[in-house]
Amino acid sequence: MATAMAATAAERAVLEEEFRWLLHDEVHAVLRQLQDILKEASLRFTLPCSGTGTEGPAKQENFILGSCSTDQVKGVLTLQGDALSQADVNLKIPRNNQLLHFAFREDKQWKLQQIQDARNHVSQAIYLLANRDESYQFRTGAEVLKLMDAVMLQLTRARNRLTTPATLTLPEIAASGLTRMFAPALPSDLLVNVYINLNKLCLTVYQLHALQPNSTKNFRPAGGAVLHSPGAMFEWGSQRLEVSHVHKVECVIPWLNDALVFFTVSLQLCQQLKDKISVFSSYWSYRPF
Amino acid sequence: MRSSLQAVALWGKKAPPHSITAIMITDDQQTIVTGSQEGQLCLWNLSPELKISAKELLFGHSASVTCLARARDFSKQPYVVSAAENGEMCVWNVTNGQCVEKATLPYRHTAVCYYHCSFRMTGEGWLLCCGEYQDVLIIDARSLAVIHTFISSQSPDWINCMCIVHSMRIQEDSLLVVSVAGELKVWDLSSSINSIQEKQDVYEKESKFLDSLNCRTIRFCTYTERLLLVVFSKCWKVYDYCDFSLLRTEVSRSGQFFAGGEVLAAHRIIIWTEDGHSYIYQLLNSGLSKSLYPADGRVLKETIYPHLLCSTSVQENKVQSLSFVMGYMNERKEPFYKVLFSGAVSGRITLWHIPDVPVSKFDGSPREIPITATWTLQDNFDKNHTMSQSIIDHVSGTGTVGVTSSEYVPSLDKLICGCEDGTIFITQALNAAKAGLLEGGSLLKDSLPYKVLKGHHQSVTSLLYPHALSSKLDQSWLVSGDQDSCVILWNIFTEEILHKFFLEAGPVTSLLMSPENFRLRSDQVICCVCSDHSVALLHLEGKRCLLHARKHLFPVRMIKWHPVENFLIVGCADDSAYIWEIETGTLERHETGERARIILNCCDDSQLLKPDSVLPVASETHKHKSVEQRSSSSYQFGPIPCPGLQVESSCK
Repeated sequence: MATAMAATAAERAVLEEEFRWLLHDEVHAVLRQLQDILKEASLRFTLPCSGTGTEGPAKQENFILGSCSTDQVKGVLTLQGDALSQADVNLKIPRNNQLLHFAFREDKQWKLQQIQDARNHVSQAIYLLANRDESYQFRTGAEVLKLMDAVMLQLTRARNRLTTPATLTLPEIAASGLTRMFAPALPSDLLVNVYINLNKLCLTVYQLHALQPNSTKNFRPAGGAVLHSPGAMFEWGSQRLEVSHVHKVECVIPWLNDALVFFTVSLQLCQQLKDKISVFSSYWSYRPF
Repeated sequence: MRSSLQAVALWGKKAPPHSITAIMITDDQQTIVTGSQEGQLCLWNLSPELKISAKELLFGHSASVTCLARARDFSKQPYVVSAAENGEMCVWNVTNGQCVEKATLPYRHTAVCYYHCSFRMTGEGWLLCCGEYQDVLIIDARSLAVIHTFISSQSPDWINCMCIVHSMRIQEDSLLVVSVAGELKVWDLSSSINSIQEKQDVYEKESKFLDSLNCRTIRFCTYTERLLLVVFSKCWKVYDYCDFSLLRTEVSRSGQFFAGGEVLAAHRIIIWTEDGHSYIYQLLNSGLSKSLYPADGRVLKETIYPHLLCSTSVQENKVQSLSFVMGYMNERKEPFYKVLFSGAVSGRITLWHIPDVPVSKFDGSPREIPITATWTLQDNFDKNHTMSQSIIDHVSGTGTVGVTSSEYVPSLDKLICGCEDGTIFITQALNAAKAGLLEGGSLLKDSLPYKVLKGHHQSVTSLLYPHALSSKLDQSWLVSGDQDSCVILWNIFTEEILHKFFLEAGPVTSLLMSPENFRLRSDQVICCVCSDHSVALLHLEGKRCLLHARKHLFPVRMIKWHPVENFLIVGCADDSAYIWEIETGTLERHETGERARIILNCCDDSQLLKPDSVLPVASETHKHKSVEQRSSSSYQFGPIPCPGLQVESSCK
């Protein structure tokens, strides 16, 4: 049974040869593959290249946000790289058959922090890989494991930024710069939030009504959430407010979907390389490679 | 009476790992501070003769340290701030090693800069921070609370590095930063103090695109008050601070990556690389020459040529290629030195005394500046070998066998140690500790009874004493797993092997037991996690393997039990969840993303595994599980001097 103990000198020589091949050839082949995939991923984020500079405007994409359950809210958002450059939101209020329309001020853009962070994490991963090109000779397995850990950390963070939108409290949404982006200004009984969830661009519109000071309702401020439910309460200024209606509309961003697939594939490649290296650790457990 | 638990960490002959990720020297040049991947800080004495010796290990961070900085005017208060990957920040008094303040913020900092303006500012000053978030955070140096942010109006992005520029001419301070996209931005610092305190928005005064990525350092030349040195990973550039015009670009050799730099004197700079080399240049002024960009309105523009004077390099390490963090410290007043310092992932610190006037050789070729001092934690351990005895050295005979796993059984007063060579020692815990720690303990050593269990052929990676977790289980049972995925069930009283399980799944990384409420035909089962990411369920009474779940692509991070449905839920490092039906051994479901998160959060009897279970490292740093659990409640920040190091200071 005790494989390694009984390994003959010849077996050992073969194993060592295999390990050398792994370190010198296979590792670089995987790293090259990883770089290719991640460069594809970062192209999706329209990274500014060092050669061309940021001067050229990133291309604009329009997304029509809707929902199958409601047609009360429609949004057309324009994405320019990691920033929202235009937004048109239509809100139908059935109570009085009123149609509200508001749009972004022309001079302002709203940065989608999740996309920027994900993009920066990917470029950090690419940077780590670029530092270890073909000319670099790996001397130990531990070195490869360390590199893979560092790359995987960045990729996991990139993925998590897209898959975990910020949980905000209602006062935080009210105080956010996004509400000040609109012209004419948003009515005081509306709150708007925009975020990325997985591969989707999401827009939520909260309709509010003020709680009467003599209201018998038990006032309990809501905590942080990605999506608040009707009935959530909060204090804003000197007023107590309650969410009466919540409208959520969304739209798939195809390139975010691609990017997420690239992250998953890259993470699997990294883990497989780690596993290959680790196989040899059981043969040379005493050697700090 | 309130009982407090004192945690004592014992290290054997091998120093604990300290992979340096950040390094600084205090202003009084008496202490070197290093931060490590393991989360600990180490304080090192630096003697007037530039001799290094480790003083204290500071425990406070639970993640890798990302940066260190001064946190006060050092002559008044010897405080240093450290930040970690998980957003923890600690302020330490480096004289006594106490943690003065701590906070956990949802920000990952990569650089911190202390700023204080005595005549305009009340309080202890600001910590200007940048990292994996937009723009620059201003944090109160005393309370570690976020005061405000310096925000960008133009292309806000993460900031890579920053420096504070104090202009003697206009008596104003500015903050210079470079973003990840390569944009240089300048904020007024001293004149914005009021606006910041009143929480008004402060936007950058100027910004300029530098046309290079991965900026590592930005430095202002205080001697000329004109030159700006910006180091990128693939080039370094010199700019004119007056109009940010480019005076020189120097590109790195292939395979070489710059990591930082500093201005040594007027027209003299030092640049260092990731692999631990440094180069000192004299910047020669070419006078006026044709500009490269005559279109910008200026026909004539001076340029600068670097002339290599000296270089330094670390000792060549044949076995491992390492990365280094480096820094440079200018002398303040006599008898302080100009010191270049580096810390390596291996834990080694190296110092170079840089001469006041570095010169090249007579023939004009660069001179190599020799290493002045170099030291590691291990050097301290080797120097004090009298104390560095492991707790089982006296029983293992040769005294060189590394302990790879351990288990403490308080009810039997037994310490069980699994070793590198496959043997398992069982000794009396308190007496062993006494013999190892207390004076006169050496007498105990020879009379200390112990047992040896021989059955494994490879190092023992994991131990479990089931009775400690469930009193219904047999007191005599011990389960051990090894590097070769062999799991043995022992009777520790008779020292016999009751059963051997061969799993063929790589090293056993951990052994767990199903909770009380989970029973299979009235018996609890053992869960064995292996390094090929598989999970095996072992039935001890039946001496058989119930299930070997082998589909996991990523390392196992969490094990959950669903008693009602008879499911085993396995959470993996990629945040996915695998649901196995125990009776049939089939994979019932595989979920990722949000659904996986919900499934993993549903039952709370989860058993978390160590985040990194790649290679079991042979060392004495294994804490005993039971101590670890209890100590977490009374966990305090503060210095833990290691025994080897303590002896040294008391010898003086």
